[in-house]
Amino acid sequence: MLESLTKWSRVKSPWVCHLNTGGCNGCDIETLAALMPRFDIERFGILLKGTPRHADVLLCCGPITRQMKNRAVRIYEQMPDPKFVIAIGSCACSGDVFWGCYNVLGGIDKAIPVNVYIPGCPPRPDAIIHGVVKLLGDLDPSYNQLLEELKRKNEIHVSGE
Amino acid sequence: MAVTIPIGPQHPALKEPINLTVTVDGETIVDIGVRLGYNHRGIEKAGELGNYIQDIYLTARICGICSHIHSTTFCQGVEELLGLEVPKRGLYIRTLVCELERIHSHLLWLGVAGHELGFDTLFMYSWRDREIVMDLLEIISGNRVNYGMNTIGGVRRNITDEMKPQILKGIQQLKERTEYYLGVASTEVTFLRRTEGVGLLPKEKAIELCACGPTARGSGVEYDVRRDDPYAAYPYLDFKVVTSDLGDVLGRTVVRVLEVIESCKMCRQIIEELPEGEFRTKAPRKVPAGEVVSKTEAPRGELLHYIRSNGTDHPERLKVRTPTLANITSVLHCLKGGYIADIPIVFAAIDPCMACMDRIMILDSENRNRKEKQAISWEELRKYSMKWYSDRYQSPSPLKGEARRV
Amino acid sequence: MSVASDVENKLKETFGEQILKVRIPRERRIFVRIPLPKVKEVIDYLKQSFGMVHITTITAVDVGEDIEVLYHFFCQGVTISLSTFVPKTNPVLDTITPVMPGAILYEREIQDLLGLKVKDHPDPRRLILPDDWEEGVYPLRKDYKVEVKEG
Repeated sequence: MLESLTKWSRVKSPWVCHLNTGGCNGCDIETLAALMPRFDIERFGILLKGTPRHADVLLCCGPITRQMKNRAVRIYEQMPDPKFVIAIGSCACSGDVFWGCYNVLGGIDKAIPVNVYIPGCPPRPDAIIHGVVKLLGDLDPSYNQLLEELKRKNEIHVSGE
Repeated sequence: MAVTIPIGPQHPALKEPINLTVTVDGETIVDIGVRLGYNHRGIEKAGELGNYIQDIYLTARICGICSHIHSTTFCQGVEELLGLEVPKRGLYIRTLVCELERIHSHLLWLGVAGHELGFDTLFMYSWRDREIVMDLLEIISGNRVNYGMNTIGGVRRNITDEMKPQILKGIQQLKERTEYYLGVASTEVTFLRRTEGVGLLPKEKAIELCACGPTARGSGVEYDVRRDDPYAAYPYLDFKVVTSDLGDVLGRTVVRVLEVIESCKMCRQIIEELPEGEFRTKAPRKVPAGEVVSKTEAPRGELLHYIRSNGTDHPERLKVRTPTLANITSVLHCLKGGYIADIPIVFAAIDPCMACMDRIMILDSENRNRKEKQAISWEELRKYSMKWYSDRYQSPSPLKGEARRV
Repeated sequence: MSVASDVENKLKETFGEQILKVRIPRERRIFVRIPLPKVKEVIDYLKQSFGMVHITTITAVDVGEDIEVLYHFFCQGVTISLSTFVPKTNPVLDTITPVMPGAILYEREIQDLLGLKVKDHPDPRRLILPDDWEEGVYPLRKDYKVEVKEG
């Protein structure tokens, strides 16, 4: 009973925390733009939180730098279980242009486990919405219908599908 | 007695990783240290390893907000080394994207400043209107952020006649909205109360600490690379350098909002006077040995790239100096003596861009050897607070920073 | 007469043989090469006679045996780049922070990335690289090779 209640609330209102692990800011501003009136990610109940202790989902932007690695792990550990990580942008997925830079370790998955990868430099806000809804679809299959609906209404564009 | 509070690297008030070590006495900041480097990637070394074409895209990814200005600075430096004459149409298109980028960056800043002041309505409004300029950039370049417009010898995409009316319409809308924000910034009581007299940077100090961009112009220093060291199409454009003598957060806000209006005028002029002809020339792969200093005015201030070539297809040394680094000494000066609650807005007022700056990092504190007592008993705290308040209200000269908040 | 050539003439008048090389590649740019011990003096002189107070940055380049240090200033619409050579065997140079307060961070930057030692710097601690960076390794020197990681 309690389990289904927590699952319901988690799926209906996932709280996210945003973390820049060394990126160029491009993905950060697109993530913020997704929260703004035009794209309005809040209609899925998604709320931006300042502290990882309140968050279910960690939005990571940028490659992981040497200095940031331990901090990212600490922030990840502060989140309550079950926790999810979304890597936003090509850098967060693999390191991208910063691959081979002496202070960059690579993608976010070098430090913490990642659930969803959103490639793009930077991904458009609708791609970010797509990624988040896909994560919700993993938690509750009924969200896959929402995804279909969004695609039909042309609110998100999926290339290669 | 001083208490040290660490803020960041992950903190609700900060959008990017930075660590502030704030020493406070009551609520007044007596000392502040900054630890950066959470964003340090090693781009200058990577620039030496890639070839010139790769480096255009690498420099564009120094910062996602001002990506075009970074690649512009790099490209015009390489063009100078090559002795390449860029077609006038290419320069105009390059300048147009520069100015649109400035508009997008300043509107973004205005929203973030509103957010830091607890004025989220302004945040939502200005970010909504920012979508207009994002659409324009998408029409021109095909992407919302990281446009990839520049190449050595010009730009990669042309502006067609169908685009022109769309751009003019968007610019007109933006101009009207920005004029509305100017009204907000100069009359709205919430805004004025939180910005007037906060984070004061006197003109002499701004010159001494080598501040640049809107931070310096908000303190009355008339320095703008676009006018003082013109590049691209700026010699052909009419524009004013906006300054304010206020020297506080309000001054910096007004400068940025007025700059958006100036930028709108420039964009209109560029579209109307766009020369015909080619928009790029072919550039050789190898660059003769030499050195060049390339300077531009980024949305945040003066940007410098130093490029040294060695006759091959990759640079010998690429040095990038970003405006945030120049302004960080000024912001530390502004914060001292202020209130702890003002940290987010004073810090935001220089429009810090950690991604730009954090190719390097800083740790700064002048009086580190002061004895800091971290844990105190309740009784000690009570005595201390009584003393603090009696000092504050009875002495004829209140603590620095008190006078302005009555 | 342009400001750049004015700077050139005045410097040659005052310092004579000490000004090793002057190059004016284009309008509003001037590169001046001076010997290491004269740096402070030249900066002081330019500050007094041209009102040069704005330092943009300090660049250091590894040129083999030496490290070339370039100070980029801006005054009266001209970007003045003073360059000097510091030998790698004794990479020590004097601080200019007392004359140019804005230079404090740039001096710390070159200290970390190229292993120069800035004498009498007000705050010479390590500042640029991660906490766990090895001592004596300077990433922007040419002998530092970036290892290509797996993948």
